[in-house]
Amino acid sequence: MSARRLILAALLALALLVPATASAAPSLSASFSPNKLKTATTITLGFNVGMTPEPLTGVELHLPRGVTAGFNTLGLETCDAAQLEARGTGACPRDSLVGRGKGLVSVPVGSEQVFEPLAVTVFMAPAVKETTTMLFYINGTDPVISQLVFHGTMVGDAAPFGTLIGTDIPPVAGLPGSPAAALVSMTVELGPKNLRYTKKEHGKTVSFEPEGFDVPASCPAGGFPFAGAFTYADGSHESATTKTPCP
Amino acid sequence: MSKMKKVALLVACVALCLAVSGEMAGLADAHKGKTITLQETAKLNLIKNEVDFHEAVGTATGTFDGKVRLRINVETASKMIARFATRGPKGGLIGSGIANYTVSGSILRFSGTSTITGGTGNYETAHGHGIHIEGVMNRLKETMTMKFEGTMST
Repeated sequence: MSARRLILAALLALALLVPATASAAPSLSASFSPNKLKTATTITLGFNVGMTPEPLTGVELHLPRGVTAGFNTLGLETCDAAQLEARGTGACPRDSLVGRGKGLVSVPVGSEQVFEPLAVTVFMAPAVKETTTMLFYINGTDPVISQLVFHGTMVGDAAPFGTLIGTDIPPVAGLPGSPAAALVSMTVELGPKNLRYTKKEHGKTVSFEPEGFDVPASCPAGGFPFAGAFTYADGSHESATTKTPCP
Repeated sequence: MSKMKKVALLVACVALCLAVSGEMAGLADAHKGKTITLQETAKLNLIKNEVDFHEAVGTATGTFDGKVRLRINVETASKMIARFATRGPKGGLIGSGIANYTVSGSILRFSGTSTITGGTGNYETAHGHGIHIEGVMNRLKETMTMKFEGTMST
C-alpha cells in the first residue's frame, strides 16, 4: 500500500474518532487570564464555524473598548513573511512572537470529511500601509496543509469595541481531485503565558515576560463584549458574539 | 529725613511703580494679538505606564524652549488622545490632541492634530487649532520624540 494511501487510511480512522461538527451557527469564545481589571492579560480567542458549504475566507474579531496592547511590550520585533514561509518559525526573532494556538481544517476525502489538526503561531510583522500587522503561521500535517502563512491586521474599532483583528484566509487546496479544504476552528492565546523576551540592561542580556493586552479599569454591564464576523468563499457572511464576565 | 523729602520720595516711588506696571502691561500687551509659527521638537520619557493612561515628561526646543508634560489615553488599537502642558521662562501652553498610531515591532508611530487652549504667563491668551503633531515612541525604552508644527495666536 502506498504511503499516501496509508496516510488517507489513518486520516479516515481519525475522522471516525473525531466527532463531525454538524453545520450550525458559528460560535465565538473569549477569556482573559488573569481576569482582573486594570491588568495586562492573556486573551484567548476562539471560533468554530463548523461544517460549512463554502470554505472560510475571512475572519474579523472585535475586541472590547480598552483592550489594547499598543503601549505594552508585546511584539517588540517583527518577522518577515517571506522568511517565515521559507524557513518556518525559526526564521522569526523570539521577541516577535505574540500568540500561540491550535486549529482544525476539514478535508474532503471522498464522501467523508477528515479533520487535520493545526498548530497556530502568531508573530508581529512590519506595519503595512500604516496599519499594525501580524503574521499567522499555520503548521499542519500531511496530506493537506504543511505550512500556511497569512497576514492579519489590528486597527481601531467603533464602540463598544476598540480593537479589530482582521485576517484574509487563503484557499487551502484539498486532495487531488477533491474540493478545497476548509478552516473549521481556531483558538489562539494572544500574549500567552510563559512568553519570554530578552533585552539588554547595563550591557547584559536579561529575560523578561512581555505585557500582553490590557483589561480596562472598568467593565461594562453584562461583561466585556466580543464579536466575530466570518466570510465564506461564496461571499456569504455569518457572525457570532460572546461576553466575558466582569471580574 | 524731613517731611518734605519723605513726601517727595513717596511720590517718586509711586511714579516709578506706575511707570513699571505700565511698562509690564505694555510688555504683556506686546504679546497679545501676535501670530506665532510654532515649530517644536520634544523629547520625552514615559514615567507612568498604567492600563488606563500613560504619562511622559521631557524637554521641548524650537520656537519655545522648556519642559513638557504629556498625558495619553489610548482610545482604540489605532487612536489616542493626549493632553499636554509646557512650561518655559516666559510662560507655558496648554492643549490637547488626537492622533492615529501604528505599531511595528518596538516602534509606535503616531500623527494627528492638536489644539492649544490656553497658557500661562506671556501666553495666557494663547490659542491655536490644527497644529500638526507627529512622533515616535520606543515601546521597550519608553522614550518618545514628537514634533509640533503650526501657528498659534496670543
